[in-house]
Amino acid sequence: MSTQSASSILFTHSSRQQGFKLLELPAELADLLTSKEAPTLELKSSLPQQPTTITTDPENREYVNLCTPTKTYLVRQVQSSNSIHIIRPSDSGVQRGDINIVGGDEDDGLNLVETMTAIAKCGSTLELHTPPEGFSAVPVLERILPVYDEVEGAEQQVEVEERGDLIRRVFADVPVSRAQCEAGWIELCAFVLGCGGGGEDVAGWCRRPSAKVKLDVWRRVVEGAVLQGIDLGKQFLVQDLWRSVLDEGEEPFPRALFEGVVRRVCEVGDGRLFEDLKWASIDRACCTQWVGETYLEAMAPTTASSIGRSEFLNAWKDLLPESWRDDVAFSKLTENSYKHPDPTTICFVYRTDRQKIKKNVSTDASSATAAKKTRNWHELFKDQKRQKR
Amino acid sequence: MPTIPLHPRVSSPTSLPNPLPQVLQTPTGLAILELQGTINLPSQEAEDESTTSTNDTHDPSIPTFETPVGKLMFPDYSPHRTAPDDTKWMKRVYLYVGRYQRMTGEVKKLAQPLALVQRRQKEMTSDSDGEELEIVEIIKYKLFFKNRPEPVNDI
Repeated sequence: MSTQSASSILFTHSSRQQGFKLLELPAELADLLTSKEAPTLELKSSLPQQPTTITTDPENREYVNLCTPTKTYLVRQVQSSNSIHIIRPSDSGVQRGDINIVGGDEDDGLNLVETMTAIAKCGSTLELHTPPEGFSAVPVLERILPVYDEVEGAEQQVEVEERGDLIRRVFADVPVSRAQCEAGWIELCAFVLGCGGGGEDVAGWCRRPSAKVKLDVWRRVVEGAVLQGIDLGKQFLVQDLWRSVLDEGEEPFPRALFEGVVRRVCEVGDGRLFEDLKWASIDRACCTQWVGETYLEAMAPTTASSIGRSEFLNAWKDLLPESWRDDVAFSKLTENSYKHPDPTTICFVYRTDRQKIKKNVSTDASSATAAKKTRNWHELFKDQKRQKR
Repeated sequence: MPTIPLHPRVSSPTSLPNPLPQVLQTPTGLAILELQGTINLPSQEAEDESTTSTNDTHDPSIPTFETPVGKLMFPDYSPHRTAPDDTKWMKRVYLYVGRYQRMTGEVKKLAQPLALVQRRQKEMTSDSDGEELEIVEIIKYKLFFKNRPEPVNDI
């Protein structure tokens, strides 16, 4: 085999080394980044937990997430035993060491004019992962937003235009994508109460209503709609609905809270969180489910406080517009969101407890098979380590 | 907690001719060469490297110095004769280190493309003090030398 015809490229090591990170791109992210209008991504890290509580719980470790506008990936640094050099064509003008040591004598010299030079060395790559349960802003928002449980006034009103900025500042502390932040915000019916107090702690200016408050707001909305002849099954003006809720002109609760609840049950498109609500129409299925679950959470949050099943179904029906009464059924509730402590009663199951139930069922078998499939040593030996302890 | 922006690739193509086969060429000219083990450089330069790399790597007043390591060869590739869809040549790449050692490797398509991420160069006038990152290149193929070097005669 003749190597004479093949050209040789001089390979050098540059004294000017640069810092690079290598980031593995899943296919859909690679497509996004090579598209014409590639978005700016964000690296978001978790809020530092209270420094006193050093936790070894893997779920609460500090982490960095990479966020596109709609998706979130967990970043994991993986060390490599190989040397990974970043190379690039070299400017022929630079000063070089003695070329003879690599056999680049005069006879071969012409071929060696072309040079690639190593400008960086990386010992690790960053991998992106999406856990099977996905990402949600809800747990983080639940942690950072104070609960609104009884009517409280704001020290200082916030202009409507400022609200968007405030909410975005809260989202900066939530390590998931913008779309997931907005979805979580809407899911919790969170709202900006007003500024003041707590200094720069913008989350402290916002609230998430308790189930009881949400239920009260919703009950008031349904009653108001009936009195004012607003059909909640059709499109309506949010302003009209708000007026129907007012008690002789008095606000029974902040308008922002009212809007939070309306957004929760309406068909709200992506990115609509920061727009003013004018016309709205309620998403029937989503609203029915939300009303049922909110009622259950407010009235029967624990096994001890569980309520009768038929009592629950009737109350649920009464909280819906007349024409939707027949929609009510246990199957409309989110799976695992409720349980029956005894044959006639029902109570709510919190999100965190739902996962526990799910995990208990599948942990052992799935982690063992997952470990077998993966070549990740941490996963492979995780179980053994636990047993030793 | 600060959110660090990671900007997408802003193409700033290199003007330097790229001697690598087409498949390894990228707009910026950057490529990846992975090998098992390390390249040991003369100690004196290693010292220089450590001082310059930690400080002003972008200070243009310090002249860049290149230490020749060896030669890269694609024995079965010819820019004119190899068809674009022919991938047989990719199975064999030589990296000569010094005169008497040769590593055999290959051109490998990456299972997942790799983004090269770098700290964004700050303009002096920039008022934001936060760190910003950018993707300077997305790489789909790498040069991979997984075998140990073998002794060869001077060629």
